[in-house]
Amino acid sequence: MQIVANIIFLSTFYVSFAVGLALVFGVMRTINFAHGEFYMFGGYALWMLINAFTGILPPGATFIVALIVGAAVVGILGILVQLSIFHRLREQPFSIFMATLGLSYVLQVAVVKAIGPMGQSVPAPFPGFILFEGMVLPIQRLVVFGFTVVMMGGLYLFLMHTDLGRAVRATAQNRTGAMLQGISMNHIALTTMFVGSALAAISGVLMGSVLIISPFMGGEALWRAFIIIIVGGIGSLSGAVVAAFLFGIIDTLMTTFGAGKFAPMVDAIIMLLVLSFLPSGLLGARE
Amino acid sequence: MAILEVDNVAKRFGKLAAVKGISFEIPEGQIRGLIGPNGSGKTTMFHLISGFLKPTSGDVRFQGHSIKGKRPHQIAKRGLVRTFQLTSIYREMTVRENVAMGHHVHAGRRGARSRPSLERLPQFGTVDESTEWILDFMALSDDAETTARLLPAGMQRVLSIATALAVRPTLLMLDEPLAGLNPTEKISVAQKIASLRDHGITILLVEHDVRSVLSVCELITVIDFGEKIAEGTADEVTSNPAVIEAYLGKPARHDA
Amino acid sequence: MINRAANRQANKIFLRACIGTAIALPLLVALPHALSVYWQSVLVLFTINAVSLMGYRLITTMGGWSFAHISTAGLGAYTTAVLTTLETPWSFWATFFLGALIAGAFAMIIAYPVLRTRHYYFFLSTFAAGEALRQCYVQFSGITGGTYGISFIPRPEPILGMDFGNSTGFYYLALALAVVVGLLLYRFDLSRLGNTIKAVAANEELSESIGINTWALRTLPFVMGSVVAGFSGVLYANFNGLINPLDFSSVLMFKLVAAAIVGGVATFWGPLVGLLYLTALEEVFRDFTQWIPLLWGVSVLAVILLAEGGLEMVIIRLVRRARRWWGSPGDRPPGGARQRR
Repeated sequence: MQIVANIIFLSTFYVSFAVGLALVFGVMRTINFAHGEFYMFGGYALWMLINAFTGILPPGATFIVALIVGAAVVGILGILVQLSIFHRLREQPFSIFMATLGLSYVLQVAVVKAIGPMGQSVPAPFPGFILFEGMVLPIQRLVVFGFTVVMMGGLYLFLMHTDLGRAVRATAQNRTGAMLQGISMNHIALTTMFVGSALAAISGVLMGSVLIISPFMGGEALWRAFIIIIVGGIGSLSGAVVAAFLFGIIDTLMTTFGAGKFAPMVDAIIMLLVLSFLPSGLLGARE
Repeated sequence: MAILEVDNVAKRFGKLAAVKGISFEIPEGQIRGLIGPNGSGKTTMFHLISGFLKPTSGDVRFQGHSIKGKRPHQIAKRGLVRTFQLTSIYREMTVRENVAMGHHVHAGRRGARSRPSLERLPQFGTVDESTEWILDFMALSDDAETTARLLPAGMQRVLSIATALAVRPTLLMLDEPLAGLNPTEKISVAQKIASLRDHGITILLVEHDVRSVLSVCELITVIDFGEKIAEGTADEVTSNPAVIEAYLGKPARHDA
Repeated sequence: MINRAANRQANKIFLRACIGTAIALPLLVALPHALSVYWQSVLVLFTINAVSLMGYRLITTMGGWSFAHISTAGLGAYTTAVLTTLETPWSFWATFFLGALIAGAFAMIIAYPVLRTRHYYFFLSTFAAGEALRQCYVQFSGITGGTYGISFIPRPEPILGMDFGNSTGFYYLALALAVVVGLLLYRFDLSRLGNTIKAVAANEELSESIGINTWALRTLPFVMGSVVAGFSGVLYANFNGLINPLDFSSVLMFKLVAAAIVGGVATFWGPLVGLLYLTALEEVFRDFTQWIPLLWGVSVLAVILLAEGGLEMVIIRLVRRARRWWGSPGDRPPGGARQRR
């Protein structure tokens, strides 16, 4: 049973990280390489607020504040990136991709210089364990899981039941069609970058509460996310979720049976096999 | 003898049957029109013959040999060459470089690959001479050094045919060669097509607009909803009730 | 059919490059004698990176920017490192070719899946494949020494009286490789095959329809470029004397990509100009090592946003303007089909 819990914890991490990336890809038709650094900023937002508010606010409350502040700040950063890079280079997806690659190193080094290259960890805002049916469930992990579900639910409601969300989906499916219906591309791009970046930050705050926070955490998460969205089918949100669970299961099982160090290789080989036989991914649209 | 035999070819995309068992034959030296309303399956048919899509069932034979499942470049090497609906050229190359690139399958060997039916096309020892002849034949000589993307749309279409011609096809398939051209350009491209046939090249052309092909084609095959609904001369086809219904009966389908 | 005019033109340009190399060669040979030991080693590493980058530029001509290049170079490095440190060590010269061969074989194996992808998708799949390969260097510690890597890698044994034990001697080895690889790849770039590869990158569908085996012509540059990476990796390992997985990390891959972006890839020389710039930047700020990736990132951003096409385009434009100033007719820039990014 512990395995099931571990699978769920790992999968929710993959989901929370990869979904923002997939969302941005769906609309912008390019990858935001700095997504990993946005996620890292979320982690540092938590670390800084916990340090600042120790003794002033209860850690649980600080955690909530960090979610809100992190999402807002990084969301605004996403808007700045949209205005300075994506908008200027529109119709040149490859240039955008390379520019964000450059940006990711700029942000990474900025954090190394400002805070230091060493990893940090924060005490769990919600400490303690629950023993249930023979499983050891750290409360913080459950909280992270709960917030990920809330986050996914919020994203679902936004995309399915708001006019703005419907416009975002319409743009992702058919850009020209959306434009013909009078949807403003600039508007949608700004919204998507705000939401996608905020999702990265939320993911960073959530994971920062259970993992080590370091300037390099984004890069490490990013390459796993690439594998997930390629296997899921680039641009497909549901594909990303399915693939996240697939790799959550595989990686957890490998770790459980003592082969955890080979998990990255196995994941990459799975990706290469999927590319060989299902080039558009599990749930990706036919090219 | 038929140069191309399409034998009960079908193509499914998942649950959607795009082409439902179409058969036709093209005799050597003919100009054949393949027409149908938008979304009728003609472009799919084109992809199936030229190898860009693989038929779900049925067979395609070119000069008596099955080419089903062959890659497009292998089919082109045998002398079955196609152009694209949205004009496809090397945009950053000059007109001359485009046509020279079309000689790929003949380059680096002594003389061109032999094509018995093409004896009426002049033979050349070098790519340069052949390119020169094609540029002259397609009336592109004056623009030979122009970067292709700077040409007007009509000229780009002519260039794409010239590039295909450089492969020395025995069967040339043209996907909507007249669409989007002005009336003067239409007449001139249609004349080129007729004169290609006089040089021994069999031609299959797809058109959406019936009127523009009537004057060029000797025989017309009409498809709709992935099925062949008529075949005959221009007069026979235009008076065929099934064809009239396909084109006029459901005007709403034209937005596809 | 032979394309005589194009052949003649290519031969003429190539001859000019050979003459240029012949003139520059004495200078390049004399160069290390004017430098301190520190700068000699900078020069050697620059030359090795230049070799790797020439292979990288070849890969970009088929329209794909690989992110596995440095891990592939690592295969060459680990081949020589493992085999020359055995109890009965192999000769460097055997591992030199074997390392390149293994790098090429790896490229051939991953070509089938990764070449199904295009543009940034290709970049992502090679990123993941390369990272997986790098993980192999970390995890198969029985062979690779894990995170500590392999040390005491010997320098190449002397041949023809050439001693490669010091930086100058090793520099001549690297220079010889750079000249041979450079001239070969430059001639290839000008050849009909080289131009056909660029045509495939410019319009794959059209190329396939006129009888070009596009699959083969995307695989060929990928494998050739990876073989060149393998050579550079072998030299790197032997020069450095020790290697570990960090030598093939994504930051260093980013340096190669940044060189190609900052310099531009339309001409053969573009990436080398970029590498010269990045190396200069690295040396000017050598006391601020941690800042260097940031400076690279800023350079990449600046070039993409402000100088489309990279430094090579800036130079070409300046040369053209200068020529107009002197009233001589401007040549067309070399390189047939310029690919779109």
